[in-house]
Amino acid sequence: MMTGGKVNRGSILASGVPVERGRPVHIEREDDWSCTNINNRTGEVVTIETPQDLFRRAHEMMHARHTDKTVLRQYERSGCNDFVYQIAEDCRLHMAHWPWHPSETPPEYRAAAFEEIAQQEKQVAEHLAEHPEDRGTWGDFASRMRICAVQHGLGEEYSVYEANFATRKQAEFAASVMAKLRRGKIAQAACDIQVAFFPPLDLPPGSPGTGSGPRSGLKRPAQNGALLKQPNMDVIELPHTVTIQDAVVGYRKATSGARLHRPSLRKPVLPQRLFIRRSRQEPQGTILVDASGSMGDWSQVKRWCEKAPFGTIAYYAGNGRKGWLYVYARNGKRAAKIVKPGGGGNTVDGPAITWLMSQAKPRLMITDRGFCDVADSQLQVMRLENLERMGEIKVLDYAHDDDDKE
Amino acid sequence: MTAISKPWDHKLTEFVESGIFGGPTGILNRMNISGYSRTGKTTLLNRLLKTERVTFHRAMPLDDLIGGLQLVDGRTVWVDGPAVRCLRDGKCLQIDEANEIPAECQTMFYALLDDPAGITLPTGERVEASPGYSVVTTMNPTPDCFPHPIYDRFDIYLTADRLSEGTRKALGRFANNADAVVGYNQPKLDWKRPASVNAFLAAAKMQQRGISNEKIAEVLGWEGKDRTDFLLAASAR
Repeated sequence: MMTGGKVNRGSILASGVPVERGRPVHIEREDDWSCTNINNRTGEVVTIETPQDLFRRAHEMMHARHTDKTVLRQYERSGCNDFVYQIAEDCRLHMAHWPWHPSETPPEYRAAAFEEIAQQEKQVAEHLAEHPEDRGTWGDFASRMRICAVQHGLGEEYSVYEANFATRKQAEFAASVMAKLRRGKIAQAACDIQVAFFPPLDLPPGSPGTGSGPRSGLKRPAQNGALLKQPNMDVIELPHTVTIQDAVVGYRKATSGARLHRPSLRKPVLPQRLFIRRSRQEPQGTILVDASGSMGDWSQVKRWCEKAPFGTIAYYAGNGRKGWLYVYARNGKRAAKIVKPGGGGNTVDGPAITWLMSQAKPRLMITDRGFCDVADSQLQVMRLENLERMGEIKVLDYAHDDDDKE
Repeated sequence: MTAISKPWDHKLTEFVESGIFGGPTGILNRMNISGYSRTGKTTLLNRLLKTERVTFHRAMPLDDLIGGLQLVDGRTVWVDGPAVRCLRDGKCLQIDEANEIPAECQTMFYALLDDPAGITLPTGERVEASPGYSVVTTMNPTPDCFPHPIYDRFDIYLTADRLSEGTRKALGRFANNADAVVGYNQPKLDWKRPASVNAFLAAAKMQQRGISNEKIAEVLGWEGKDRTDFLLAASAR
């Protein structure tokens, strides 16, 4: 982009770009625009556009020096979108390639960096004051992670917990992503962010991880998780032989109505749902129950079945190496008995969430969020948190569930 | 945090006295001072560096620069010119009106500005620069008037845009009056040193002698944004 800038011939700044990265044209801008244009094919830096601000000049210089073809390929491999690429790369550069060793940053650049941090913090605070609902969303998370990275690059003792992330889980997730970026695991880090904050909302049937084929055990592409080999998850449709009573009758218990549910009157303590109402046979969404050891009681599954007679109800668990997802009920029919999975671990939280995302809305997940067993468990916690924030999945904490859900 | 620029004469004095420029142990040995006339360039240089002076003009013969064969006691003998004397004795050669490079002297001028400098005389004798040899050129226009090979041979560029301390002293109570008319009716001095090979050669020489990047930027005449850009470009990571 050559608009609105003046070419700096004999640029001192451009002389800092290694010759193997090309001979970039340096464009001085009077506005705030800054960018480094890199030829995707050759990896050569074509132009560096810098504003007058020192921090951004240093930032563009880092791009020109270190955002090379290998790095670009890794982002490409991760399948992340542009937002993720920008933030992940910014963080990586600041943590690993700030032009000076921590104690050697010239005072002008140090001051400019802190000024930039203060400005960013102010902008975030102002935005959140106007839009509190954006707390914890991608923009909020990205700004805070970037601030952390800049602080680390300057050699500051700055913990992720000081960055005031929306939740402790987010702070921990940011720390893990930053650690990966620092170790050069770029594709993995980008992929983690992509999965956590930009989950695919409409998975085509047969997508990896949906459990509809053997591919759930392959290395996942970006849409379905980090570039880690995930445990297999078998999706088992139990034979749905029993008709769910409420589904057939077309009536359901309700807290109000014109007709009493007489059997309920015989109970020593009257339940809240004392009436019956005609219920339409409308899709009732999907309920996924985390049936790992931490979740405890199996009778709960039956209970959920009664609450959503026409919904799809499934539970899952794993044994640390593989996992099973049992579809217990669908379209008003359920299995005759509950088949217990072969393990009591989480293991396949990621594929299970992916499966849930491929099912009809509304989606409810009953879980204690205590994901564990596999390397990307933390990522899946973040992913679920963000899907919940986006309104794609409603999460019911197993420990605090109550009767009037769904 | 922008450093306030020091006056050119203070810089010159500091560079000479600190051993950055000139003298047998000087790190750098080629300097150009351009700027308004009557600011005290020549006088200060002569006082500080005890220079051997030559003034360029378009019709100047080569003999006036390097010397020539003369008739002495009935024999033709080689007599050194100012440039050769400086090379042999390790002194500072001062060239005034350097922008008026005589056509006859141009290539010899390149050789005098080389690092290390050395020329071959018409007698066949090769004269290499002795320690302490340096060249200072003065002129009124900005350095971009030089042909490129010369333009990129100087280590230090100073811009004499105000009266030197010595000139102000000489002017006494009229110093302020003279200050007010410095540069009157003269072309503006709006030249900035670009990045060039020799600039980085000079930077490397200074760095080898333990001089900080901040000081290097000052010596190279890079101030403000140029200075911070240099610090960035020279950063190690």
